[in-house]
Amino acid sequence: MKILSAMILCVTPILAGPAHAADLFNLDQRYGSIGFTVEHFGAFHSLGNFPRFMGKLLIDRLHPEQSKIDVEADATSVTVPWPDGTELLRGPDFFDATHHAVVRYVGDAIKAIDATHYKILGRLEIRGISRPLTLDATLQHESDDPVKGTEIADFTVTGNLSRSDFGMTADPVMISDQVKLMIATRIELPAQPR
Amino acid sequence: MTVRPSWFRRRLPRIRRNLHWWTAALVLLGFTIAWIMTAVPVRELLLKFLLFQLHKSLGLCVAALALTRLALAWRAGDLPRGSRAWLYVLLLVVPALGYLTAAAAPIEVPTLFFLVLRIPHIIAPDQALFDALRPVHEYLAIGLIALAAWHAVRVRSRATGSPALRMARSADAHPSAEP
Repeated sequence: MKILSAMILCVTPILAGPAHAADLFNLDQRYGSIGFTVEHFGAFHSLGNFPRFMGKLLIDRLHPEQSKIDVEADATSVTVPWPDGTELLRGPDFFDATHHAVVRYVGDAIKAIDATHYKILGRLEIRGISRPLTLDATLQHESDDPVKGTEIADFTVTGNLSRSDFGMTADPVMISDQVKLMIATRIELPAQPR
Repeated sequence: MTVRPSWFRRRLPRIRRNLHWWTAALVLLGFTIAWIMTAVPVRELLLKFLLFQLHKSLGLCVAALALTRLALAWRAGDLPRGSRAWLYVLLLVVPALGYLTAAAAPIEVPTLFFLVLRIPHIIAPDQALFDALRPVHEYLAIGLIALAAWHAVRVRSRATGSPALRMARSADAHPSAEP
């Protein structure tokens, strides 16, 4: 597994790297994805994503609950696999990207549930409206890179929100109010001495 | 103008005549809905969705009707030939391409037969395949309408006689006053 991780490191330059401080990491679309789904009549669902985002993750190993995350997604990039739908989503009925080009999530506390599950407490801002939002993070995979002396961690982050809380009330029959968030990210930490 | 009873009326049993007219009606309705559903603005999302589902349901009905008619024709020993055979080909191929187009669409909207029965998609969403199939489906649908129109004109012409024949009959019935 460690060899596989090292190979991944060699062939894919997709790992987030340390920024300025030991535990401060830059996040963007190279290191993960931000997706979401909505239901239609409970019969089927649609997927969307933000192809462009950037943010910072400050991990405090001694006090994990004080770790911070601040991510900004480019609302003008929000996309669904249907050109007309993408146009609709970016338009005034939904993200209104012309007037609110940024979707922002600021997490100011992280609670460890167990060794692999965490809750991120924070606020989400869409269309200039800010609401509290708790996200569930799960450590999916962890490996060491002996060459770089780093630890690689793959997380999935999920959450649920009501789009009407952010003023997106169009098409209530066709599109569910509940939106599920699905975020994947990979971070690289300097290996801890053992 | 005298209209002669056509082969269609003389020889086909009522069930096959009814299936013929149901097919014609559903093709016309499906084609009309196709124009409307693509013109409906995306902000009318529910209406657009319902029209697409109705269009897909009608297409499946047309294919089922064509298969039924072929089975009846085969049993009666008079399988279609010539332009009628091409009509049957298009009656089957256009809905089949429509179904595949819907299945290949990246948006992954299911095919709900009259909103009741979910028809499984046998292929996965594929943008390149969708881009290739969609125009073929559209052009062949226009071809189907054109061929059906030509078929109707030809049958009508046979029933009433050719334009030249009609003129000749008219001249016989109303001889000119001039010498």
